[in-house]
Amino acid sequence: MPPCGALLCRRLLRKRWVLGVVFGLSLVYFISSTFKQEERMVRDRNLLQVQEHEQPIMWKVKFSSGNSSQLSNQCRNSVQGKLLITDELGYICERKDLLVNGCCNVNVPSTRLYSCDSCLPNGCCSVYEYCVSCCLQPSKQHLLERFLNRAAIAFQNLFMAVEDHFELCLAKCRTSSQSVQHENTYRDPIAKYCYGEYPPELLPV
Amino acid sequence: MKPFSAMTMKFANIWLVLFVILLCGKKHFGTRVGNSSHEAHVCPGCSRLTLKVEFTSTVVEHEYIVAFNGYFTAKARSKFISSALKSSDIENWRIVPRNNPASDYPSDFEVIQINEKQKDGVLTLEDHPNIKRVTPQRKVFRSLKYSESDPMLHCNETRWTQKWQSSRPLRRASLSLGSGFWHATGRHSSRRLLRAIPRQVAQTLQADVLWQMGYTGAGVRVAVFDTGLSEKHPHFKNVKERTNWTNERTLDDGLGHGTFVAGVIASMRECQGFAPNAELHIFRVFTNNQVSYTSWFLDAFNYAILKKIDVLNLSIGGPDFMDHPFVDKVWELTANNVIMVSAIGNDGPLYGTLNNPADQMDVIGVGGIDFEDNIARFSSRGMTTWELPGGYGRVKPDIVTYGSGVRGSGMKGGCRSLSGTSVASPVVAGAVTLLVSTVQKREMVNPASMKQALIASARRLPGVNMFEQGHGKLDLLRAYQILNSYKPQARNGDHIHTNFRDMYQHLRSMGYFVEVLGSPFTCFDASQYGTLLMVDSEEEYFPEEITKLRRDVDNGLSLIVFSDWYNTSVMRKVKFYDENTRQWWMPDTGGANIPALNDLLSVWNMAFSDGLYEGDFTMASHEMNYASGCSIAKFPEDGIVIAQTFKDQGLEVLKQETAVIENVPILGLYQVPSEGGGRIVLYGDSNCLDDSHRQKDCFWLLDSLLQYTSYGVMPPSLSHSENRQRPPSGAGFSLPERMEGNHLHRYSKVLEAHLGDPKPRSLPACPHLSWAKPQPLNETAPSNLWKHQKLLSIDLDKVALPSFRQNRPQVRPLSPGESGAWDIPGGIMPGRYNQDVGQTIPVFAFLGAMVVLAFFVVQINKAKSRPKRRKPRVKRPQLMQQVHPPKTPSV
Repeated sequence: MPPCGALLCRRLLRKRWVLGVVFGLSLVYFISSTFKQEERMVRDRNLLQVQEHEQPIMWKVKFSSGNSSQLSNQCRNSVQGKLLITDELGYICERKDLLVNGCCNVNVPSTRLYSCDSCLPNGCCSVYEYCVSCCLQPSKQHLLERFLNRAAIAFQNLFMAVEDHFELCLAKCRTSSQSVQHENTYRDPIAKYCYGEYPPELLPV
Repeated sequence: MKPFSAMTMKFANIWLVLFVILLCGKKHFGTRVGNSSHEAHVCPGCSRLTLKVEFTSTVVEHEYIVAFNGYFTAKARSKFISSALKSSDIENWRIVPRNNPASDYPSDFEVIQINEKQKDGVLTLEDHPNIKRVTPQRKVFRSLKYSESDPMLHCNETRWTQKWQSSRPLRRASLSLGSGFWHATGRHSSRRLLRAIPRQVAQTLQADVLWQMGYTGAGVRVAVFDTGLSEKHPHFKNVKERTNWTNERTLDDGLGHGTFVAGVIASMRECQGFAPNAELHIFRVFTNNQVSYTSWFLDAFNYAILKKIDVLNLSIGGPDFMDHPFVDKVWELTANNVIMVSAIGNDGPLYGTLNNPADQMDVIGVGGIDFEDNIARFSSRGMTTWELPGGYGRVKPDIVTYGSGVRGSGMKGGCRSLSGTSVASPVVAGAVTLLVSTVQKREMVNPASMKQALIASARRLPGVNMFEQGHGKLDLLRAYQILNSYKPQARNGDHIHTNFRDMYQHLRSMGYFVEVLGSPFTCFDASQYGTLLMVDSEEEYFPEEITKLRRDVDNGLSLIVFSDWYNTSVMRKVKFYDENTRQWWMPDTGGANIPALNDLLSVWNMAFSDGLYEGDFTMASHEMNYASGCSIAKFPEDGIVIAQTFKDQGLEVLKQETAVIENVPILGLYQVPSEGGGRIVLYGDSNCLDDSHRQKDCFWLLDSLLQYTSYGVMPPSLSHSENRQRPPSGAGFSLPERMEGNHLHRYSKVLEAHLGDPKPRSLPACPHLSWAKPQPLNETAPSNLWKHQKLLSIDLDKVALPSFRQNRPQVRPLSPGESGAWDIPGGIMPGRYNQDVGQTIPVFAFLGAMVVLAFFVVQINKAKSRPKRRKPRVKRPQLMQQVHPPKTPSV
């Protein structure tokens, strides 16, 4: 039987139409898989940008009940500002008024608590430090929780690593994939630091 | 708060003498160069294996090389020699044949053999008009020896020896080009033998020395932004975290690029990386199809900031520095103390091909060299173009290191070698990681201090320009030494291109020519210049300089002095404890060195006081500010002196009391009485010219003073000022004395430490400049030949510029030779190329396949409709018969 089967196969394979069918099938497979891959790529990109998934990420941010929970004298602050600095208590001050322990000097008149200067109603600010300070307002907690519950997959890495309100505000206010359009321009080049739920409004270029 | 300016001055280079030349008349100006003499220290035997090339040579008897004046054919040469030897009775000679490809062409020498011992006869050859000289033939023996040497101690010693006659700390010397400038690498040391060099970069850069000291990068968080890394790669022991920022659902490296880069930084076995104990954070931001988007980077960078990454390697770059969100984010990273190391690009040898983000000021941009210290051809080179057209551009790359044929980790283990600036970048990133782990006080490490240490320690490659090598080749051990004696550096010296930049710009815009005098006053020809401008000078003067200047002023040179304060009580008062260096700082001079200035000015009966005044005033309807200056204590009777009302700042500093003093003489103008003599102007405060302390500028004053010194034009607003006053005679003023126990001699080029008071050194020799003789090559062409320049062959209208997609991926890995797609000539951006081709290939394939399919369908239809052929089956037996011919009966 086997030799007979082999012979049959060989004969069958020699037939042109069989070869044609085999070729045609593989061609169809090739084309369809190519297209599918491209489609998937586009879908993946969209997934990262606009979140559709319902499943909330497992964030572990602990919002402190009051602002007096700070035990040590040291403050974390927003580090990067050339002129302004926001400390973890929500005070924003000029860089020269920063104390050695990293906190803002509260006794200087220009130091302010939870200041939302330069912030728009949509939750976007033009100065990073004001964004952080504004975001640290206790009243913004619900907004942030809501955001965390429906954060895009792209942010999972980031916001799952965030541990408290201050870190969340530092991370949330930074420009991110949500801040850009066409990859290389800001959606809103002025108010680009957002603590709010939604990305900055798209401005016509 | 002004007196604190003195503290910064102390660290500054004191030799500030600014020299102003006035554009006047038929005088012509030469260029003057500073006399910075550098001693080069040879550092022999810095590698483990030292190659010793010994050679001896012996004279070959009876053979001589005859050199001719020009190139002649073999026939002519032979004729010359025979005619030259005819006169000397030498019969027994022959030309030694040289059979090589060059013998077909004319040559300028011949080797001859003369079998007689007649030296004199040979010399007669030189009498021939076409023969240049005759030299004996020599035979050279060369032998190579590899010898082990103890490199470290020896190297350190030679590198750090300071031959400079000064008590400056070594730290300063290391910043200068002095130590080992030309002998850094052996590139031009006569003939060099190419030798096999171990391709293990870490060892080549002597990382093992730091390993032996116990530094392995422990506790340093390194981020690798690349194509990922597989989970259980055998080379890595401390992968803290892997994150994916792409649209591919994997963390593994499918390309090998990311594995290689991570391996160079932190591999612990086989091909060793620099910092095996460093904490690795793998960021997968690049897909296996080499695609990446700005938005992925933005999110990944945010995560890197949150994770407090110390060193970040980005072997990726794109040409798009106009990508604001990305550029801003990189700034944000460095502002958060992330030391960013990036590859400069693989677009060399074209200039101006730097990649972003490596071309940013805050990023350490790394170029590539091979193991022979040649700049790799592919390495992109400077200068930066994104300042254009407003600015000038900057030098980039910052530093170069091995980037060609470097060995690193393979994708699944094992080693492979790779080239590209994306290889050079992790070499520096690994070195930086190792360096960070050597620093005890981590808060000292930031992008700025690390970059300063790398740059200051880099070894210049001779014969390579700065736009190719930046500050030179990475030297890990020197960087270690510098970093561990690092002190924060803000400004390095008063100069017209640093804090007196605005003054310089102003003078230039007014049409003045400015030169800096880098040598003593005795070394310039005063007749070539209009005015000597001395601003905020802190140096002492040689006695010869004082007499020379007096003579120059008598002969027409003018002098403008912008002084500053000098008060020993205040200087003692303002000493302070510096928490960074943990020592007391005391100024060695005030704002200016007034005692020295007074010595210089005493011949004209002029002097500054030790007062310290501050206040706002109006002069010639200009708002002015006197920040912290002195007053004029003594001025000649026939001079013009202007006074103002000020607060006594000295009293305020010393006793916290406020006192207003009227009629403080601050400006004096004087015409030297001798025939054709110059003019002298004194002003008590220089802060109005200094960018770093200026509140209100006084460039207008400088202008009118220069008008006065160069043309003798006195502005009426000054000469008829209501504040004009009788020149002070000096009575009642105490002239400042040099503070006892000051350490100015440590920084001075004039003073020398002595028992008791420092004494001036002997006057150094002036730098000798030998001018190159100008040889104009072109003569002016007739005007009717001149045409507008235009592009030669390209019709601009027909060249359609490619329209750039806005959402194209803007970054790509940099590694030529690893994949063909990354190494596309002609400046096309590979990322775009990939994407476009990726989209068009399926379309073409589909069309082609359709054609083929149609062909087959037609064929099948034909075959079905055609009646079945009969013959084929008949043919086969015939063939069989041919193959097996019938047996013939044997006989």
